[in-house]
Amino acid sequence: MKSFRFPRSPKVIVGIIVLGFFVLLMIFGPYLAPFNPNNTSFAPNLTPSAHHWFGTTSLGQDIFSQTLVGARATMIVAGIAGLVATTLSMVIGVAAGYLGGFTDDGLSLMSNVFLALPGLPLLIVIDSYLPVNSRSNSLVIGLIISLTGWAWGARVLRAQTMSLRNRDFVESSRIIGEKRIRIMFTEVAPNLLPILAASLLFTILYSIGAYVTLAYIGLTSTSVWNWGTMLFWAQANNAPLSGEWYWFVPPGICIALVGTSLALLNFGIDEFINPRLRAGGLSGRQRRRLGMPRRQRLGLTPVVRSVVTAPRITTTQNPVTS
Amino acid sequence: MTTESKRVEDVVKTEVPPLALPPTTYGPIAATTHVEAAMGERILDVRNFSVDYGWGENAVRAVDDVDLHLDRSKVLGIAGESGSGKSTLVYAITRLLRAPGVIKGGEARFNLGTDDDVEHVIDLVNASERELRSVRWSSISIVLQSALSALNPVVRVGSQFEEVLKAHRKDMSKHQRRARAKELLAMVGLDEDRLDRFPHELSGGQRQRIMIALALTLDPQLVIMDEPTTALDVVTQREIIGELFELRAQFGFAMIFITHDLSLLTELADEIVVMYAGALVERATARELYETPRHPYTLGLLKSFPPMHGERSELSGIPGSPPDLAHLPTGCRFHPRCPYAMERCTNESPPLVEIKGTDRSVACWLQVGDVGVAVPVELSRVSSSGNAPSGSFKEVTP
Amino acid sequence: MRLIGHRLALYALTFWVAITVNFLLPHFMPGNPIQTMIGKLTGTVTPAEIRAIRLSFGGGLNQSLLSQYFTYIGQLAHGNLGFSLTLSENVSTALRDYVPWTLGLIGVATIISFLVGTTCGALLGWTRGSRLDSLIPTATFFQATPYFFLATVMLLVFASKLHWFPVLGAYNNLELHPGWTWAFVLSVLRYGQLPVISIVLSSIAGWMLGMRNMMITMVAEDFVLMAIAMGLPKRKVIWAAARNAVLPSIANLSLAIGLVVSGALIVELVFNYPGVGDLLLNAVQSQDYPLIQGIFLCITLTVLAANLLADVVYLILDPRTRTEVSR
Repeated sequence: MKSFRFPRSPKVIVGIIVLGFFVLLMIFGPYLAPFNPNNTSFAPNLTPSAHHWFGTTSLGQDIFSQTLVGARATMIVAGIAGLVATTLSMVIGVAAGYLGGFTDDGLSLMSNVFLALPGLPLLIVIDSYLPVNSRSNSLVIGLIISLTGWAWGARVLRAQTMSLRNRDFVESSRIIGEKRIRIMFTEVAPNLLPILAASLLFTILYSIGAYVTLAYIGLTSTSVWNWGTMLFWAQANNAPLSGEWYWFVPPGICIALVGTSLALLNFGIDEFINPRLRAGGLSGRQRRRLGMPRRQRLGLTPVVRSVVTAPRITTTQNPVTS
Repeated sequence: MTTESKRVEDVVKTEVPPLALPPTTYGPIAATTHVEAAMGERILDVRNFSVDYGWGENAVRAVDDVDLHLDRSKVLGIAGESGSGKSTLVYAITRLLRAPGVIKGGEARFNLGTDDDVEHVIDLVNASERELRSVRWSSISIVLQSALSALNPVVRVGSQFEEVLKAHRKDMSKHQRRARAKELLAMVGLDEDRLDRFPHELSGGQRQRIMIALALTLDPQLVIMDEPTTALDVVTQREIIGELFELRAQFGFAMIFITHDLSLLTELADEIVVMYAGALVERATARELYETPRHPYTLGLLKSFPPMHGERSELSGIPGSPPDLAHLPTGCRFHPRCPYAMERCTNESPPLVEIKGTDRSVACWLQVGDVGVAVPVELSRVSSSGNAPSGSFKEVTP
Repeated sequence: MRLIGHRLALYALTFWVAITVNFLLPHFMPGNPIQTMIGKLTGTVTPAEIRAIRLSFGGGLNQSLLSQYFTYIGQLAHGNLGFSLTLSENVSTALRDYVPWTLGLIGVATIISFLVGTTCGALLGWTRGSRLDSLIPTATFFQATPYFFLATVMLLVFASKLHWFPVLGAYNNLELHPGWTWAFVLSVLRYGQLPVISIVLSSIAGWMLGMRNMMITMVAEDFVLMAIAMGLPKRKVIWAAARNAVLPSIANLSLAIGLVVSGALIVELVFNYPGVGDLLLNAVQSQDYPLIQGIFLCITLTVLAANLLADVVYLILDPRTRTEVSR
């Protein structure tokens, strides 16, 4: 397996920092919230102030507290959904890619069907049939979301497994006589790690979107605070048209930031997998300083004449005449 | 070479009228600034050419101070192992070298021809994009190693010809372009219907023939072949090379033939240069090189490939592997692998020296006498039982 | 052509799965939703309507599950998607008014997003390392925001505060009536700008990035160097590379369409656009199951049709698929 170098790309570092911040928020949010998010005793529709950092809702609740508390449910459900979906896609994808034959046919068909089914509408249908008390169960919602999000990862993992299967080191294990399952886990799986990581990030991203959207429509329990529910209440109370931006902007921005950090991390992994994408090379300014044109242009190899250095040898005899 | 491709001759001589291509004009390149001397018969003049990979501290010299000269209608062969810089050199000359290649010095001039006593020469290194574009393909064309990756996979072969002709010869009508493409395909022995195929539908040999036909579309003065037959089986290889030289005999273009197979060059080229680790180590006519190689590396190369004709001799390789360009050996680059290495070779790098009285050069201390006269030293090609344990060359003292 | 046959079979199978899921869910969910729903209704609606609703689920409950299943499928075959309680009419009739709006919105938005996105991506991939690269994080940020959030913000800023665009609806319904009049069409276009822009912004990053990455890979290929060596003008070289680079984007269209459709539905809510999304929300909130099911099937059918179209386009664009049937 290739050695792991800590990524130096600024995109990735920013991604890690932002995501880290929100993970901390997920863990410590509810403890840091100054007020109970359900507390309606404050004056309604207050703009942000020192007392209420994000202002208050139409019902008199503190938005800042809601945002902090909401981090937990949002990220936990997304995390669960992402993990379950990625595990599913790994099992199905690797099995299909490695075992081939009818197993592959069947599993691929299943993946393709799930891939073609539109995710959110299916989620809505399933969720609307759920009895109300189930809707507050994060686990249940997470599981349902993962049902719609595993297919893409499975397809990618299957393709990668198939290409790995034919590689020499796998063949030699097989020849030695190792059992197929063992080969799958000890030889093939480690090489799938970058793609698995990317798949995980992508599914978490998708899950956050799905969860928040479900909450926005009102399909999740309103007793559990999450960022989507905040947006639901904001919309229900006509916040956009009343100009109460402080109600829906904080949760939205939080979602966007978490999503962006996940996407940035994905970039890092992309560059790791495909070395051609790595930034490598100099910036425009550095190039200018070296005397090259700002950008490398195909078909126009740059010319940078070096300072004349002393020749390496001192004696010359019959130098080449033209 | 035998004329196996009789069919090409027949087709060309009897069926197709002379080139459908109207005579060339010189486009936007005006007569260039005055040059020190007219180039005359010479079409390519490269001097002190150096190319780096990378920048600053991490730069690696891939081509070090190389000179090349090519006359009209002649064939220049460039031989060397992978990493010797032969491809880098040629691509850099035509400004097609990809990042992170950088030209660090030297000049490359290409003679487009004489028009009313005015010689049109283009300075390739300093040319603008527009000038390069007008010269590319119409005067200099390339045949790449792998035709499958060199042809656009999603368009038909015919459209490749279309695009080239459209870009350079706006005076030709669609009908004329098609006729030209058909003519070119006939030249390489392919039927017109190949034009409507996609690259992946053709065999390797057919694709390479298409590449050659494509290269000749605008009747260039120079065709560069970058290992054109390495990806093919030996039989197809011979066929294609045979056809290639038929075409050259007919149309008179000059050729630069890059390959690691030196024995091939000894048959095909007029002049051969041998490169090692970015430097030119020997230059001679093909015959001279074959009969009396002067540089130990050249000898090693010759003994690595079975000759096409002539008596059988023992095959041997060259022990060791090419050096890391970032960490070249002191003195002569080749000395760690050279069975003739002397003390001097470890400390000083030999210059490229012309052997007096001949038109050949070599960079080897063995070939340089004490009194300023290069004494050609015979490197024996005969292998005998009394060999040194390395089993490669026979020791010869100057 | 065999490939199209395969894909068609796949989509038919998928549709069948959707139908089956639609049928099974209400029968197997805890809490017996069908009974509950009908129980709530008795007395408030006519018996004929109750029968119609029962039919939406497959007929009377005293029949076996299998026969109910066949009844359900039979109903669908006749184009009867069920009876909606909240609208007091057949789902199919109701949908007919709403679907064109959604199709128009999503269709236009997707096409614009695809074209602009892939073009930008191609240029970004070609001119790598230029200042344009700063577009990427920006687009990524927009992509990470949920569709409806971006829509809400845009509504607030551009429509409500700045009054650049009209606020809600698909056309000026105070003054105009639907019809093929010039005034109507213009009004539709005017009202449609903000929703379309919102959807485009949310989805463009995906196209841009995918295309950029593929373009970078393509530029490193030999045939692009050949095109330059042949002295072709730059735009032809970029086109040759882009033509190859766009293929994976089209292959991934199924994923993209799913996401865009989902997002667009919710955007309709924000802008009060009279499309299927709006309808769906109301159905969900009033637990009008037949309507929910009907809309789901309708959406699925559209998405599958779009996927098929994408497959056909891919087949046309990549000749390598025509000679070999790839797995």
